[in-house]
Amino acid sequence: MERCDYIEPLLGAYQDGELPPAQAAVVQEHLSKCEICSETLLDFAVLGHQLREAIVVPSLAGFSEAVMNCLPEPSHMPGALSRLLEGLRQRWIPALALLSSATAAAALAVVFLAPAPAHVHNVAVAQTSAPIAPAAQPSEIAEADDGFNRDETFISRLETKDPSVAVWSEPNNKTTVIWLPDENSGDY
Amino acid sequence: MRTRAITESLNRGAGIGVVLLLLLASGAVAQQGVGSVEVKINSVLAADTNKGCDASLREIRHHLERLFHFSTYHLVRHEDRRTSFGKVVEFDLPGGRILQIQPLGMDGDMIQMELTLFQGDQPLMMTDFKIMNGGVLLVGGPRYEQGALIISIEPVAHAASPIQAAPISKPEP
Repeated sequence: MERCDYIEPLLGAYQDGELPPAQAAVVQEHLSKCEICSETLLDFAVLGHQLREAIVVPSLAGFSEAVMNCLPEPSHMPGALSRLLEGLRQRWIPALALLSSATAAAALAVVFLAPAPAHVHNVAVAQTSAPIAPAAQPSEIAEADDGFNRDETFISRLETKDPSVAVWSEPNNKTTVIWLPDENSGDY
Repeated sequence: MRTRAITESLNRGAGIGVVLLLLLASGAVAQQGVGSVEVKINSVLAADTNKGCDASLREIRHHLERLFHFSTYHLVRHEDRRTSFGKVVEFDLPGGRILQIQPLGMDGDMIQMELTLFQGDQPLMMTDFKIMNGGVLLVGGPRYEQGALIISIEPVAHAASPIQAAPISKPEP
C-alpha cells in the first residue's frame, strides 16, 4: 500500500480525472483502504462544488445589443447630399469609362493633330543595313541638325533594291534628291 | 437589379466614348481628305555631253545646276496630272520606267505622299515622304542612255474639291 503522503498530492488530479490510468488505479486502490485519504478526496469534491457555486457567470443575453449601443451613431447627412453621394457611387463605372474615352481621344488628337517631331530630319531607311553613300557633291549633302526646317522634305521610309542610295537636300530651293546608283557599280 | 443598373451605366459610358472617338476620327479624316493635288513630272536626261540646259527647263535649271555637275540637261518628257488624296496616279517615264504617286494628306502646308518607281514590273524604289507644297523632289539614276535620268516631282496641293485623277496636259515627245 502506498503511503498517504505520496497519494494525497495526487487526489486533486484524480478528482478532476487527469491522472494516467495506471496512476489512477493506484490511487483508487489506496482510497479503498485509507479512510483519511477518502475523506480528503471528499473534501476536495465539496470544495470544488462550493467554488463553482461561488463564481457568478454573467449572462450573455443582450451582449451584442450592448456592444452596438457603445458604437458611435452614424452621421445623419441631409437627404439631398446622401442621394448625391449614392448617385456618385453608382455612377463611378460610367465616369471611369468617360475618363478612359477622354484619355483615348486626347491620345488620338496628339497623334493626328500634332506636328511632326522637330528633331527628325530626312530619315532614309534602306532594305538592308548598308549605309547611305555620299553623293557626287558631298559638300551639299544636308547635314542632320537638331532643328527641323519645314521647307525640307521629310522622308519617313525609303526602300530600294540597292541599299547604297543617296539622299541630300538643297533647303534654299526646297529641293530634295534621292539618287539611285547604277546596278553593280556603286557609283553615282 | 444592381448588376443590371451597373451594366446599363457601363453601356451608356462606353457609348459616349465611342461617339467621341468617332467624332475625332471623322475630324481627322476630314482634315486629311480635303482638296486635290497637281503633280508635275519632268523627266530629264542628264549627261556630260556639253550641250547645256534646255530652255524648257528654265524653272528647275537652277535646282539642277546647284545639285549636279552634268553639262547637259535635256527634257525628255513633261507631264502634269491632277489627282485627289488617297488615289494613285501613274506616270509612264522614259526607258520603260513607271512612277506611281499617291498623295495621302496634308500636314500643315506639307503634302504627305507615297511614291513607287518601277523599272518595267520590277520596283526600284518605294518611299513615303512629306514635301512642302510646291517643293521639288528629284529622283535620279540609275544609268539611262549616255547619262542618267533625273525625274523632277513637284506636287502642288489645291484647296478645291477633289477631282478624279486625269491628265491635264499631254506628255511632250
